[in-house]
Amino acid sequence: MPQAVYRVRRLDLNEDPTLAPAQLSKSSAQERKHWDRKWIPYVLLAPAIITIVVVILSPLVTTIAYSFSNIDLIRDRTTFVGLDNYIELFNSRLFWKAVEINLKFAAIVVIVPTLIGLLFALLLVEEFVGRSLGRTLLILPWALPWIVIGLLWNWVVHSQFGALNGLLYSLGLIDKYIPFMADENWALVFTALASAWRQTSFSAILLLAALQTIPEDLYDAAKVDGAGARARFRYITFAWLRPTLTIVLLYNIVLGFLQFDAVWIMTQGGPGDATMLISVLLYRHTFINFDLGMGAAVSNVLGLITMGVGLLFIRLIYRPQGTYA
Amino acid sequence: MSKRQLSRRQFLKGTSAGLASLALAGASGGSLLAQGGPLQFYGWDFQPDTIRQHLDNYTAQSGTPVDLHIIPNVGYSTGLQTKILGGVHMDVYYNFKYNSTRFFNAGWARRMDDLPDADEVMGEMFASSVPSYTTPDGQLISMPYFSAVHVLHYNERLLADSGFDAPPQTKQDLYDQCAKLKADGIEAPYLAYWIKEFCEEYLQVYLLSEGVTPFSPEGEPAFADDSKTVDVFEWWQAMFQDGMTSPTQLTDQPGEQMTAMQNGTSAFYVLHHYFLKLMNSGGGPEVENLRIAGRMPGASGQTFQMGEVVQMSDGPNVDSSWDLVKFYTWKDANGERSVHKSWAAAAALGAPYPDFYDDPEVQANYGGYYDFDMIKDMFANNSDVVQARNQPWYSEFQTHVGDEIQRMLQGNLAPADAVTSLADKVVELREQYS
Repeated sequence: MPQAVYRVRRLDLNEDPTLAPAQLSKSSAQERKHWDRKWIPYVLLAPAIITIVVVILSPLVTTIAYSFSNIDLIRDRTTFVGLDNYIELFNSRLFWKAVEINLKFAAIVVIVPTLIGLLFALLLVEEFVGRSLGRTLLILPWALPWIVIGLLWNWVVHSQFGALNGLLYSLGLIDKYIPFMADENWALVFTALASAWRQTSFSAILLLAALQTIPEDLYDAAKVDGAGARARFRYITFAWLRPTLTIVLLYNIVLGFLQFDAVWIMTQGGPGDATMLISVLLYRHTFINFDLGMGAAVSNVLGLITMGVGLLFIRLIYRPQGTYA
Repeated sequence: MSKRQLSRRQFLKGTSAGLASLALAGASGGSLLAQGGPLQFYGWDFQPDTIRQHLDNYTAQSGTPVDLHIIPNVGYSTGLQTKILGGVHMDVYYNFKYNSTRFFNAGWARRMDDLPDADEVMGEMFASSVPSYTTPDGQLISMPYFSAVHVLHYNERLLADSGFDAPPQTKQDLYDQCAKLKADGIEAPYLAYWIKEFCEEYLQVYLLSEGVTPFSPEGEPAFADDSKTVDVFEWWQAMFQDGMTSPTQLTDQPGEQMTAMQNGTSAFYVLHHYFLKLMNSGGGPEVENLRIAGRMPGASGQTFQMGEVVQMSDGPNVDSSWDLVKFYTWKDANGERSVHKSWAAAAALGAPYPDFYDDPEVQANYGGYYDFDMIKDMFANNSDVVQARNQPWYSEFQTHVGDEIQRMLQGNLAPADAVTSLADKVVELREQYS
């Protein structure tokens, strides 16, 4: 085949030191090929490197630099203020309140979708009538934009015509509608559940995909060895799911700390400080007060918290290949 | 048919040239706009078709074409500032009043008092409204998109059923009437739009109605020096804590509140005067019983006059921009307040011109349930625009008010401490912006 011939000739030209001088007379072509071999990897990598620099590295460096500055957009004046933004942030009551609230919020957004997602995945991997419909319905919440999720859940928990109140009332569990979103604790729980609802769908899809790859032979062999249902789940299912579970947890942790849209639509951080997540604080500093320096400081701290918690979970759960048993 | 082969090199050359020319065209777009052509008008998405209609009418009268750009309400300020910082040229744009001085100081908005007819425009306004559009030293920096006064809407029938033949005159009256109404089965007698973003408007309403001067002309926190401020805050907290309002008041939207008034599950509603029309238009069993009280309950009975503004930028299009601003916020070429009348028909939005409320067309559009002399009197004699709201630091103060007032209402902050916190914030921001 012409392609194969080309490959052989190319190798001959570059690697065979016994080539006749006549063949080497095309020195410029050879030099060019040498240059190609040296630089083409860099040229090929360049788009990816440029993208990473422009999209990730440059904003990261800029954000870090901004956090040490006071930026007056209107007068187009930037002043270096050292750690002032961080000191002000750590001295702010609202920041620590936001950290406390965010930890509670993240706990719900990590635990609920992971557990319920696992249950859904275990259910939908089994053969039963309506499994296809179940799998289709599973994708629906994930397909909705966050803003729609926020609006939808506002209706679900509405104090006058909410579906939840209607259900509780018709079951005789309450004698009058409850204004859930007026209560600080319920407001936090329901904003977190709104986020968890969508994440459950995503977690279940990932876990279901992983479950489908477990070879049936493993279960058969375990049964022959006398392993019960619990042992099979622990040593086969859970062990097999562990890498996927790590990804699911990591993704849920990231969302638990970076969620903004649904909460902003549902409560704008209220009532009072009840749902004042760090991301809401970040939005207010950056886009309402236009205090880019402080916004950048909040952003960096939020990034570090998310990264720290994420790494902690990876360390706790992730095992290198071959150590799952 | 001959088929021409295009090498990869040729393709890359061609696309690079294409992209480069596109980039050049994009980069020069802003300057092209600034040098003539259609005027660039920016607004938020309240009835964009009506805005388009107004601009088409202007073009028909003046021959000047206008491009309309709509930015969503949520994040309008952010969008506007980001575009301006990015080099987008805007000739005329809607703005929130609290941003007007900030934009002017930044050089994004032009003063207008040196332009033709400016004196006449200001001379036709309610004297009480003028400071809303001017700097403390009298420069005209914005014009009225619409104006409104905060009023107390009440249900006459519900009050009568509970034995009250007149709306409350003081805050104590209001509390007492609410308590009686609640005892008579009205679960949430008093409604107001106490979401974080709007707490600041109510701060002005409640302080002014009690005769407290909110700010000095220089923007100092005068409210902190008046002992009545703590009384106002205590009343405010008691209204929420004692259940005179709905517990969902801190997050409810006007749609829910209007429904409660229309159905008679609430008896009082404090918000802009045009909500009476909105409630009437929406229908409901109680709309015929809804009225506007002639004064805001409190020692002085004063209320707060609000509104949003239109500003224009400097540049080669100043004459035509000013012409458009006058058309949109004052009078058209025929001397008619056609744009304000149209907004009155659409949503009962007001204008800060006394003659506007005497116009039979406006009165017909507002509806027979309005007392126009009362509305005029509120604008002319019983309201204040609180000029400090134009200060460049004001939007940050507004955010802080939302946080602290909601904390106070929930019982997490004492009224006296809330007053101190707000005053401290003003001092801090004034220093930061000086």
